[in-house]
Amino acid sequence: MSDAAIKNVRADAPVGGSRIIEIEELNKWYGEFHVLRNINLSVNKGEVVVVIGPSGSGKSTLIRCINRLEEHQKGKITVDNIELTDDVRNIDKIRRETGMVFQSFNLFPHLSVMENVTLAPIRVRKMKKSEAEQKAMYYLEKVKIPEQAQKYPGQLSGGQQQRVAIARALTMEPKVMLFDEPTSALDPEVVGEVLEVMVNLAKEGMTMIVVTHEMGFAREVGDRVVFMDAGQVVEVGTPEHFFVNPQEERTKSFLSKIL
Amino acid sequence: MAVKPSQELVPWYRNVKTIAIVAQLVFVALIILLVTILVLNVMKGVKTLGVNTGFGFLNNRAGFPISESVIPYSEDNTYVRALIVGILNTLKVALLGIVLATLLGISVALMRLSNNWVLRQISTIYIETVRNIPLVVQIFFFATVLFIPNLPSGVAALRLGNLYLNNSSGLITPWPYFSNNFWLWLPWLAIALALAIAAHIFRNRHLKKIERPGNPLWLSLPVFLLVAVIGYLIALAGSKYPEHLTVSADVDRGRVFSFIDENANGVFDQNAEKIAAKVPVLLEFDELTLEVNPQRRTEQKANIRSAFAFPRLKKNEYGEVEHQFVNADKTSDLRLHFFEFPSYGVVYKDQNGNGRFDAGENVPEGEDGYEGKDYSLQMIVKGFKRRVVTDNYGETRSLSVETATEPKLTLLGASPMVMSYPYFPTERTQIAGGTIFTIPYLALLFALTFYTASFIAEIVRGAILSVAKGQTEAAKALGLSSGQTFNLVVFPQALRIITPPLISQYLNLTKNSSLGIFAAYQEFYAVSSIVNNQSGAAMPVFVILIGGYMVISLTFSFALNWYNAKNQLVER
Amino acid sequence: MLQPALPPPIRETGFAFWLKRNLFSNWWNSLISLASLVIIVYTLISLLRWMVFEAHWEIVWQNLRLFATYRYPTELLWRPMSCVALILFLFGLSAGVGKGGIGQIVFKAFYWLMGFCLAITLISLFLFPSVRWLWLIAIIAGFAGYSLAKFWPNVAMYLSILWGLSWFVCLFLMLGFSGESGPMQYVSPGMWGGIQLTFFLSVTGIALAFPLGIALALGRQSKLPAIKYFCITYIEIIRGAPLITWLFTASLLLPLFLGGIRPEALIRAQVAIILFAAAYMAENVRGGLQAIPKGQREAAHALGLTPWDSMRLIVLPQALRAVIPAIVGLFIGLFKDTSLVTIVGLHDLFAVVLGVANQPEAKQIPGGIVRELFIVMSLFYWFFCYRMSVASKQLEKELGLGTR
Repeated sequence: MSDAAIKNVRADAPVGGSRIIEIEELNKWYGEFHVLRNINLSVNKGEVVVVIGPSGSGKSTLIRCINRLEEHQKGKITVDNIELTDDVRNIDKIRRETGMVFQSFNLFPHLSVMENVTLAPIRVRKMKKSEAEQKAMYYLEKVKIPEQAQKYPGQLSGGQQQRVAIARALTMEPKVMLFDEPTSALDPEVVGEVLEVMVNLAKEGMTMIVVTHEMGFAREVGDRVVFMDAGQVVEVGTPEHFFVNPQEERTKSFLSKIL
Repeated sequence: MAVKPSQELVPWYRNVKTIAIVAQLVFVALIILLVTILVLNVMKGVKTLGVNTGFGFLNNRAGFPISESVIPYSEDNTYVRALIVGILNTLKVALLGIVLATLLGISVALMRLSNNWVLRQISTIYIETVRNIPLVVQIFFFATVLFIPNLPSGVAALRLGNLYLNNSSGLITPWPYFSNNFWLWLPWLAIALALAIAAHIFRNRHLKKIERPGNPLWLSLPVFLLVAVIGYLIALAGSKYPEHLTVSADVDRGRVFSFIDENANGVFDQNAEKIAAKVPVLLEFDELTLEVNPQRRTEQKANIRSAFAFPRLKKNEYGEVEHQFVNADKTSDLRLHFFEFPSYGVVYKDQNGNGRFDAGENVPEGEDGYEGKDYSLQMIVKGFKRRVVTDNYGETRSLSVETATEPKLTLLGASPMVMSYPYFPTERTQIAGGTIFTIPYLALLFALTFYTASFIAEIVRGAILSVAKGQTEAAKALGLSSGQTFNLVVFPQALRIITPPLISQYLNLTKNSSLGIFAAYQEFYAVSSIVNNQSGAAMPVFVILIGGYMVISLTFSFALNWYNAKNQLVER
Repeated sequence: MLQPALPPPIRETGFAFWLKRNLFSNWWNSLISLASLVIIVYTLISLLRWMVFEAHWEIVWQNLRLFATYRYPTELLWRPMSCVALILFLFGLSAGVGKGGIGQIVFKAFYWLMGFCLAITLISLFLFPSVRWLWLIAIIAGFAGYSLAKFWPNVAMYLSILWGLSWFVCLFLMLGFSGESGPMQYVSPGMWGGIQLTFFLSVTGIALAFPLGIALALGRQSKLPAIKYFCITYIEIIRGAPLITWLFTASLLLPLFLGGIRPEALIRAQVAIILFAAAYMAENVRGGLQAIPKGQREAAHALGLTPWDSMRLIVLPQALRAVIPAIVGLFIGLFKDTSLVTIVGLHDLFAVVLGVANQPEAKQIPGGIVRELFIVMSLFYWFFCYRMSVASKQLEKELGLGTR
């Protein structure tokens, strides 16, 4: 491949599905540093896209751009036909439709688990408290910790906290879930319980973008795997294609290091 | 088989438990020895130095004045009352200081966190300057450097509406006083409070029922205000003065007062009748002739050095005013320029003949061969009328008109509260009416506020910064607005971090108010120190002084412990 | 190969961007920025104009000696100046042997102190013939100490002893013998004052409060209830009332407790300051003790150290290291609080300034010279407190406490 020919790897979703996220020519800079370089990515409803890559490759920045935790400078992001602009209303709408799970859980330590989970439904969705609590219990059962509802985050283990965080995001009933390295801060023995929840969620047809280092998860539930390096999409493919027969040198060297 | 502990075999000096007991016994013995020596010394000292050790002196006549007091106080009161006045003065400066320091501290913290570079720099410089200079020096700054030389004195006071500021009195503001009709309003206040509580509970229940978050204060507060206002209007309609209430002017002593004229003879009989509560009175003179000596302002600005100030009149207080020099033949080339007609201006000589006052044309008293008396002006005020509030006790002077004619006094309508507005009694430099925040009080208040606020600002800033960024991000990702993010996520977490050090700053402020003595503000310490000087009762004064501050400190400690116990974050 | 890095479309660097971001990000910010800049510039210009054209600095210069040493006899000024030289020399030694981050902080403190002394030296070269050579010698002593440490790093071992001794030497130098005349004649503490007294009171206060504070902190942690509750009572009562009341108490009651003997005002005030500072010191040390993990003490016990040794060798050194920043903070507070001793008739800097402001010469100037005096006095306090607070922050960072 010649250096002159700049190849824009497009990570387009399969034709036929209904697009829910569309990212076109996304560029972002931190000062002079070009973090995201011309990203093109689209996601269909019900798809599970796993983003992998070495640290510092811009994976987290990419998904944090989708709900405007980071501001992009060039390009277009559309979520559920709403374009992400400087308009506060659009930002609010998109944030309501996307749930996010963070590496460091970010539960609110001053609120009980139940209050954590019902805060946004009551305040943002203007739900009644009982209704919100009912919904919260439903999702807490789904993540298998209904018995912890009255405890405070500080009393829970890391895995339990992360499951609460997932329930907190789900209770808003988002159309898309963004996972930002949800298992990286966990002790190895509790990674499994969080992944199990995520696998179930995927099976139920939730649209998910997952930034992770868990290759097993990528292989098992990912519909597509996106490999990023140095702020760009290097390779896209199905898990089989990706783990069995990677094309790009950088992908190969990355996989050889971690597998 | 269990081995029996061979306790008895250990010699006592090697046994951990006996060592502990012996050590304590030795320690206690040492303390007792020390205390005994001290007590013996004190007893010896009491004899040789002749100091007072009992508390009996507290009921003696204090015999010294206190320049400002929340409750009535005179030299004839007891030491106890003087000390109470001191404590109240401490609380008076500390409570307002706490409120102001909190507000200023939070504002400065927010400024330091803002995205505006200038504001950030200003707040940083403010914090780093103020906290690194001794508080005493700052009190000195406000009292001696800033206020006294730079503020006008006496009647030349700066004025903003009904607020006056000068360096002889301080800040004078309108102030409401209870009248004898207050009891008509009191039940309404109680009803308002009860209804507000009911509304609060009702709203709380309702919110719970409809399961929405919200603050019941938005209902209870308006309810309280509405009922209180309606109640006031009703009380106002029903207000009336007691029978035989008469107002009288004691022109010689400069007082307007009210009394119950029990024998209906129209005059105040000092022995038989009592001075009544404050009532508003309309004071009227058909014509008032005043002789005025212009005052020099202490201010250094050359263009107003020979400024004079008559009794300052408000626009609606007079019909017509004429001014003329008393020594008209000697001062034919002197003119008057008014900064505020008819009562505040400057004497000048029109040197360039342009018919108006220019900077530098003023003729200060004692210069150019003019003497003070040449300045004397006659001021004829026609149709003078003024609303004053009668005196409660002999201290304030509401009239202060030295004139032969008796004023016409009209009792104004009764009301539950009487608003007293500040004004300048004619021919006096002291402002009357309203209430006064003295210069010592203001200097101490400002210094305490600015000093403590610099510490509070750092506490608040640190706390807000310490709420992890992830918390804000998580809240935003859930779709909460920035306001909700701050109110529901950042602020409650920051508050837990802020409160304990904040309470200790409040305590520091209260303790630091003891430096009021450097601004001549007579709070608890200053009064205690005078009481000691007057009575020579060092020991009892020491006990009262330290005890008083201990009570304050313990109050704050209890508040702190209570807060900590209530708000501890639950952790594993 | 793939997408190369490109420069950002909107430059997020450079002066123009900085201006926009920090001053003019929206109309509201622009308004605030402009308004405050105008006010600042106006204030600065009028202040400068006043300072250059109107202020009466000459009275401040004329009284500089009073500010520095109050009524200390002029012909004996070489004695306090020897103390300054000695302290600069020791500071130079400490700065010279210091290693690592803390060494750097000590060096910085030394650097600023020398800067201050150099400024004073320059002033005295022109204005104060009586001390001009003395200040030069003091400065040289500072450099000499620094150089000596570079040649002889082993001096580090003796530093704490030297510092300890220096206090006695300084006290001896300033006080002298009891003689009526001669170079070492007695100078009563009543003649001390100004900055000299400010430093003496605060340094002595913190130095003597240190051991007392440690004892109280250990006592408070003690398992023996008699000792524990005595310490708690002492600490809480002292901290419950402001320093001014303790100064008042010491000045009134100390003679009474001593059976009618009246010690010098200086001693009474110093005792109050020490006893006051000790209570706060105890709380700081307690904070340090509590920060030491329990495992440390258990490890020491497991090694067979006696409780006394494990406290002395393992726990206390770590705890004291951790509370250095807090002690610096306490010293700053004490340094500021010495300004209260005027209440018991001592003449520290603040009292001297008040006295100068009321001098007849000062009163003759319209409006007095309070502003000039205030500026000079504030600058002095600010300089030392600010430098110390910066050092305290750096120490905190250096000792890894900043993130606690």
